[in-house]
Amino acid sequence: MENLSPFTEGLGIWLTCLLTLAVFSFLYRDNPIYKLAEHVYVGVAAGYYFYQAFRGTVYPNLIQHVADGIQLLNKGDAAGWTAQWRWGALVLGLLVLSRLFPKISWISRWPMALVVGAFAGLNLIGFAQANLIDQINGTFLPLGGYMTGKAEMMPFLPPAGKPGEASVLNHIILVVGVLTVLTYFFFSAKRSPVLARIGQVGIAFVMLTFGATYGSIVLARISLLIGRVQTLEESNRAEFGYPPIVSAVLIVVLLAVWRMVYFRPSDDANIEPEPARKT
Amino acid sequence: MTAEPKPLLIRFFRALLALDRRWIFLAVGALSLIFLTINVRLPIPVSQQSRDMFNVITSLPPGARVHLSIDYGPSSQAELWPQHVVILRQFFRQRVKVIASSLWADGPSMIERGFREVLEELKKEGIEPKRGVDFVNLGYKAGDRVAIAKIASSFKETFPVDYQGNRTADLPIMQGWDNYSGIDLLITIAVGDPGATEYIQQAQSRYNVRMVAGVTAVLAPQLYSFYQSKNLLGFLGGLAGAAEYETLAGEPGLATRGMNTQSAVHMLIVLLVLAGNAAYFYLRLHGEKVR
Repeated sequence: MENLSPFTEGLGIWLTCLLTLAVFSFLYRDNPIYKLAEHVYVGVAAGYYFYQAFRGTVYPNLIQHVADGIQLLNKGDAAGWTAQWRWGALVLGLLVLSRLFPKISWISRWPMALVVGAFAGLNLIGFAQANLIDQINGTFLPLGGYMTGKAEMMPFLPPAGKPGEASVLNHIILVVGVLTVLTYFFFSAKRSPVLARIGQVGIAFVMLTFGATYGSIVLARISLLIGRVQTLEESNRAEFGYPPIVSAVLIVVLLAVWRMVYFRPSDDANIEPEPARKT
Repeated sequence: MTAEPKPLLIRFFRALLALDRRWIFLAVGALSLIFLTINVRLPIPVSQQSRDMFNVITSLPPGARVHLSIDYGPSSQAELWPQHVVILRQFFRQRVKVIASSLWADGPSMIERGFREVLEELKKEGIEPKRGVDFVNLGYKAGDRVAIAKIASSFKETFPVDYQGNRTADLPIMQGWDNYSGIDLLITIAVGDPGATEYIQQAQSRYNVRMVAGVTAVLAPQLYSFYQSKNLLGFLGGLAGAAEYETLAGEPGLATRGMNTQSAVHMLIVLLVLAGNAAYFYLRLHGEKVR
């Protein structure tokens, strides 16, 4: 495995610190340093994605494949013809670019139709199996009796410290949750008072799910912050001249100069204010 | 009957509601920095799904083949890198053969970085897996679900060359198998779409391959239903999942260290939510218009 040279490593660390802190400067307010980091990111990402798509897909699956086929044909091997159908993929790919020319842009609908059709067909099978059949199977749960492969009966409550284990209560909650949520989203019958009540229980389950999702989102966002802070802390190395500290000072100075010399209050007016909530 | 308003409390709550949010950003940042530098180890309870994932991976025999799909990039490495490293380390220690690929364009560089750092560590233990024999980076493949369906039918057709440009048909690790019937475990470490759900739909449920996943905390709630239906044998959710896995593996690392900060910042957020609600209701109770 090749290791990075000290110069490359140092350059990488300096860029990491500068760009991380430049993005964090948005927390103060929108500013040119943040904008620079944003534009660098978009530009680099676009170039990198194009390169990876070419290197990982277009070159090996089209160019190299067809070239191998031509080599076989030159040797008199008819098997080389089987590789040549991929010219069709190239033609379809080029047809997508017809969108750039308004007069013939309608041609791009053909390859798009193929993509949409293939995508829908694949998704239909996978979705029906994993999200419908398997989920129905997963809801057919025993509400009592002997546990699979064990001699003892299913306990009413899950064992201490293992709230996710199979138990009568867990299974009841799961089955009731599925049925009541399905009832809430069942619009094919008139909402009788009984159905409405069942639906209300269902909406409580939906709210609990939203709460869990919100908690997870907070967890994820804080993790991102932790990751950046860890990177800055690890980058604070004497041999590279303490990049995070120097970068922070540099960015604060640049922000102060921008605020005092170039900032116009009208710049902030471009940002639409939040509408006031009615109380 | 309402209680007599307390001017000091009212002033405090008014100030709290008018607080510039940048102070909160600063508090969160400062708290993160402080808790990363102090060495406190809080207990990490292990969830059943993490334990199941650990047991599935531990039960793999030497020589077993694992398809490791690294479906994330540097933007989500804070959550997924600790999972990636601890799992890869375990694979190599168990002498499992790792076939890595990615559905995300920035995934192959993460795969390379993972191999580089983990192999560097394991060298000290005398474990030196060989590229092309014990592990391979097949690189990135565009196409989302279509790519997964193609991978499932033929690895060698989908990836004619590996990330280094070697022909996959010639690599020792690729001999004697070509689809999921030759794979003992499918694992994706994923940040979004395409990721765990798409692999379940296009590969696991269709070919009945054993599967586990490591995902970001945002995605984790979506996977409980697949875990319940046994499509997934176990999964890790975000940094917390990685910390649980490190606890099970007995190797506290990046995630365990990050969990102290995570807990501290969570406490701050809970306190702020409670204080904000208390201020809102208290001021409304005393007839003030609150936004």
